[in-house]
Formats: sequence, C-alpha cells, structure tokens
Amino acid sequence: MRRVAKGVLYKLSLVAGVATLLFYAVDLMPGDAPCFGPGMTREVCAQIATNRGLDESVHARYATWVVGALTGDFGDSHRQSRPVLDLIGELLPNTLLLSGLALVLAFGLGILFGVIQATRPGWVDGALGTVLLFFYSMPAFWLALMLILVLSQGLGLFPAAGVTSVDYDALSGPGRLLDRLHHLVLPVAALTLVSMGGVARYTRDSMLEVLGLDYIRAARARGLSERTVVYRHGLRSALLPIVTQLGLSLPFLFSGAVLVEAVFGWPGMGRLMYDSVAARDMPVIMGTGLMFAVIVVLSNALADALYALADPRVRYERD
Amino acid sequence: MSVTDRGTARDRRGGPHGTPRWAVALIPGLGDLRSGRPLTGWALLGTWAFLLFVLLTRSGRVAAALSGEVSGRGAALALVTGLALVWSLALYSSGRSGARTVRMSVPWRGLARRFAANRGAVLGAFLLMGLGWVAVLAPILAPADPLATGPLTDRLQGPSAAHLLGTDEINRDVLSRLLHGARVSLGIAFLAVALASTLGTLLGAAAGYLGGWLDRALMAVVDTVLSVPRLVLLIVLVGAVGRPSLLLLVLVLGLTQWPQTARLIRAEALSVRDREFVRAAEALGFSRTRVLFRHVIPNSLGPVIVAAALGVGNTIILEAGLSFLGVGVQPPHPSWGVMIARGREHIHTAWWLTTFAGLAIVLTVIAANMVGDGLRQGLDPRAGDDR
Repeated sequence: MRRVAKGVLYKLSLVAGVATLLFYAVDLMPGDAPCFGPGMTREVCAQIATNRGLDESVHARYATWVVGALTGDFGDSHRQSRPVLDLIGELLPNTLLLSGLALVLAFGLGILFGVIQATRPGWVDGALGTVLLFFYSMPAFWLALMLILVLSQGLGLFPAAGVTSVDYDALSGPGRLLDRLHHLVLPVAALTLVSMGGVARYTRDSMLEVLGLDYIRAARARGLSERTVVYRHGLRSALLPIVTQLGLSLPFLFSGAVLVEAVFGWPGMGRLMYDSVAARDMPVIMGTGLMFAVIVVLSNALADALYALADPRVRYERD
Repeated sequence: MSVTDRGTARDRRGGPHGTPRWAVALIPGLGDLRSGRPLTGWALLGTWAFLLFVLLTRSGRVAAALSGEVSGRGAALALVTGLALVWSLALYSSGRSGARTVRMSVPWRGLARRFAANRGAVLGAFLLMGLGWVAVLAPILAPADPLATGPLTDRLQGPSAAHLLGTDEINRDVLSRLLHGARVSLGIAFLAVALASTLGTLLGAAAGYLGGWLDRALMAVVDTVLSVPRLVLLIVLVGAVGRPSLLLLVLVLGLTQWPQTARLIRAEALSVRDREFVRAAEALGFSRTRVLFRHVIPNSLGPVIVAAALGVGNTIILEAGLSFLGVGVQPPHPSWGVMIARGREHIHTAWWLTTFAGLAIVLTVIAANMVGDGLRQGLDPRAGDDR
C-alpha cells in the first residue's frame, strides 16, 4: 500500500514538474508584449500588462498561477477572454474521440497483423512487414494530405475537413451520427495507419518469443487446435509487453493528433495549443500543456496497473 | 572495414583470383568483392561509381564551383576529396598482399555479421549513404538554384522534361528544392541525434552506474520531460521564439530527445554494474570515471545505437511536422516539411508539391528504420546464429 502511495506521489510530482518547466520555458521566450494592433496606445498597453501581472516577477506570477491551479482556477484566455477550463472542456472531447478511436484501431489491427506475421513466417511475414514499415515511416500529416488528395478530392468519398457538414443541424438523429462518423474516417485512418506498424512489430517479436517456449509445445502435443494454441495460450502471454506499450504510445499518438488536427481543421486540443502559442496566450498554453501531461501520466499509471494485474510476478507485494 | 570475413585463406594470401591486378588497383571495391567481402566491396564500388559519374556529367559545374564562380564550393571539394580517398584506398590496398582486416572485439563482430546477413538493413544502409551523398552534393546535383524564382505567369508547372518534378507556387524547381532539402532535413536530424545520444549516454550511464542522488534527480528530470508529448513541448519551446534558426532547431530537438536515450542506457548500466568485469576493475583500484568510460559505457552502448538509428527517422518526421506548422525551418530554406505545408495550399491544383516532398521523407525514414531494425536484430544474439 505504501508503495502505491509513493507511486501516486511521484506521478503528481511529475505533473508539477511539467507545469514548472512549461511556465519558465514560455516566460524565457521573447515576444510577450501585447502592444500591437489598432488603438494600442502606450497607456492601454501598460494597463493590459498590469492586468496580466506582467509587472510582477516571474516567480510571483508562477506562485499566483500555482495557487489558482490548486483551487481549480486556470485563469482566462487572453485571446478569447473565457475561462481556460471551458475552452478545454469544449475541445478535449474532439481530441479524445480522434486519438481514442485511432488508439483502439491501431492496437486492434496492429496485434492482429503481428500475430499473422508471427504465425506465417516466409513471404506473408515479409510482405506484411514491408507494408507496415512503409506506413510506419510516414509523417501522419502527409499521409492525411495524401488521403485527402486521393479519397476526398479524387474519388469524392469522404469530407476533407471539419467535424460535421454544413447541413448538420438539419439532419435527423441517425443522420447526424453518420455524418460525424463520415468526417472521422480520414483523420482516424491517417493516425491508425501510421501507428499500427509499431504495435505489429512488438506483437510479432513478442509472439515469436512466446511461441518458442515449452508450454506452447506442450499445448500442441496435447492435440489442441492451432487456433487455440496461438490465441488462447500464446497471445495471452505475448500481450504483456504490449500493454506497457499502450501507455507509452499515447504521447506519440497525441503528437500525431496535433498535426492531423491541423490538416483537417479539426477543433481539438492540438489546434488550441498551437493557436495559443502563436498568440502568446499564457493561461491556455499552461492549461493545455498540463492537460496533456495529466493524460500521459495517467495512462502510464494505468499501463503499470494493467501490467501488474496481468502478470502475477510483478504484483505489488505487501511491505 | 571488413564486415563479412568469409574469404578463404588462399584468397587472402594470393590476392583475388582471375582479376588482373591493375583492375583491382583502379576500380575500388573490386578486390573486396573478389575476396568475398561483398558489403565493403559494393559500398566502395557504389560510392566510386556514383562520384565518378557526378564528376564526369557535371564537370563544368564542379570546376565553376571550385573556382568560386558559382556557389557550392564545399560540395565540389567534398566530391573531389571523396573520390580521391576511395581511389587511393584501392591503390594502397592492392599494392599490399593480403586483405585488409579490421580487428573488432567479439560482440561487435557478431553484430556486423548479423547486420550484413540482413538484406533490409544492408539496403537501408546503402540508401542512407546515398542520401547522405545527395545531401552533401546538392549544389552540384541540382539542375537549378533552389531559391531562384521563374516568371510567375507560368508557375505551378507539372512535371516535365525541363522540370522533372514540376515547379512550385513561385515557379522554383521542385527537384532542386528537394535535393537541397535533403541537406536541411538530414543535417538537422543527424546533428540533433548526435547531440541527444552523447548527452543521453553520458548522463544515463553516470546515473545508472553511480546511483544515489544523481540517479534520482536525473530520472526525475527524464520522467518529467517524457510526460509531455514531444511535439507539444517542441511547439511551446520553438513556437514562442517565432522564427527559430537552424541551430536552435538542432538544440531543441536534441535536448528533448536525450531523456529517452538516458533511460535506455541507464537500464543497461544498472545490469552491467554488477557484472564481474566491472567489479574486477573496481577491485583493481581504477577510478570510477575510468570504469565508467572504459567498461560501463562501451558495454551498454547497444540500445543507444539502435535508438540513434531509429531516432534519425523520428527526428526527420518531427522536424517536418514543426516546419509544416510553421515553427520549424523557416522559408526560404528548402525543407521538406515547409514544402509540404506550401504544397497543401495548392493541393487541389498541384499535387506534385506535397507528394514528392513527402515521398522524400518516407524514403529517408524507411532507410533509417531498416538500419535501426537491422541493428536491433543484430544486437540480439537470440535473433540469429551465434558462432
């Protein structure tokens, strides 16, 4: 129990570390003066700076931000004059939908392809490996553009941008769902295709190792069907290292999502983050950065827990 | 470097069979090919043929660059020196009886053998080498100046004989920009990975071997940096500056990558720390620094090498992403990411802008990944036979 508490404390300190890193990094960068645009007199400018606390020292502002954050107040966006939490609450579901779907599909397909590669050595393994490496080596945003070029512009199959169509409000219930799914296809496909190669490779290597073990031979000797041997006996223990991979691949997926969101004009956290950096919108940068960190740390913790759950050898012993 | 020493003893002593000595002396790599070292042979022969071809077909350009009339003096010098080196190596080694043998310690020899047996890895290594030469020789190879704009009235030309890959939105030659883009993309990626590998190796190995507060502090930093998606961290760091220089990009990409290397080598150093040879070195009274550099680091390097090869591909993709968002390489520098971003605005009318720049990235990253895979399998003795 004490070990779990220690772990939680460490994860919390990581999030705090990220907050400190981001705050001082952004502050170090030049160009935070809000003094351009029409009607910007010296006085207005000075007033804005005072309002944003820019006349205080970095440390004072950091302290103010920490106190606010601890009480659940992340400040207002400079650009939109709305609470940061509202903005995040509005856009986070879009990003989670996109990344979540891509994560599930990438792992589902990746594991499937990995098992196929491991059980069919020879040309199937080689051909699949080559195709997967090809997609794995692509920038997600370029693949997204190519998908738009061929499937959207060339064949007119899928919409190239946005979350919903223009006539979304006029659609019926099921029509709306279909419209949303229709818009999801290309961004999710781009993210999935790029990420599944890595999963497949891990699965293949892990499977090959497991399938060479004695207990698999024993299972075969007992006359079990190949299917049962591979999926019930083999895959179950081969999945262990892949569970860890699930937690670790989340930051990677978010990185891809930021770019794919930019390509598809997808209103998500990535775009929010990028726009706020361009506009030096400090509270939003901090809010979104922290949100990403929390998600990553949480998913790592989840991966640890799943690993402990799946593998009796690493279960937390009482101490 | 001799990678596959499969030549028989007779071959080595008596020289290559059935090939006149003058041919061996004049054509680099032939000797290696004849005495059963195909990798070294093809690498030398390929480099020699490629450089000679470039020199012969673009001799006017090389001469002009050497005399300083046109830009690209460095590239011309590299071409001439590279060719001279390869050739003199052939002359030198053909004059000696017996083949060159490079002595490698046992684990590295095994790695080299398994790597050479991996067709994909070898292909990737040759590809990467070729791309490296393309990057170095870009000013000589490019048919046009990558920054020179043509008349705007016929911009966005499709691929044709005059412009093999078409022209862009201000009528610059896309092929020339791609070749010069290789310089920017490969240069940034290799420098950033070199920085990250060096820093990560030193810090990670020190943390793993010495332990204590250094280890705890360092791992806290590593875990913190790895808790933020790297692209998000990069956008914040670079985006806040606005127009980053190439040097700043190298620094930022390198400084956000070393934690991964450090984590890998720390784990390795932790297991090496308790091995007999380290204990023995300590018992002999060698200083901790000496043990760290002479024993711990060399024996923990495996995963770092793999991570570096895979990191090159990864960094190229990241740099392209940053440039695509406008916070990476700044125009008019020809970077593949910038070209994709510009091409995106014209994707409806000029597909060649985005497509070719992306294919260049894919080709480079595939090559780096194949090399990384080969190294990974080569370092894992279970993956292949081990004599």
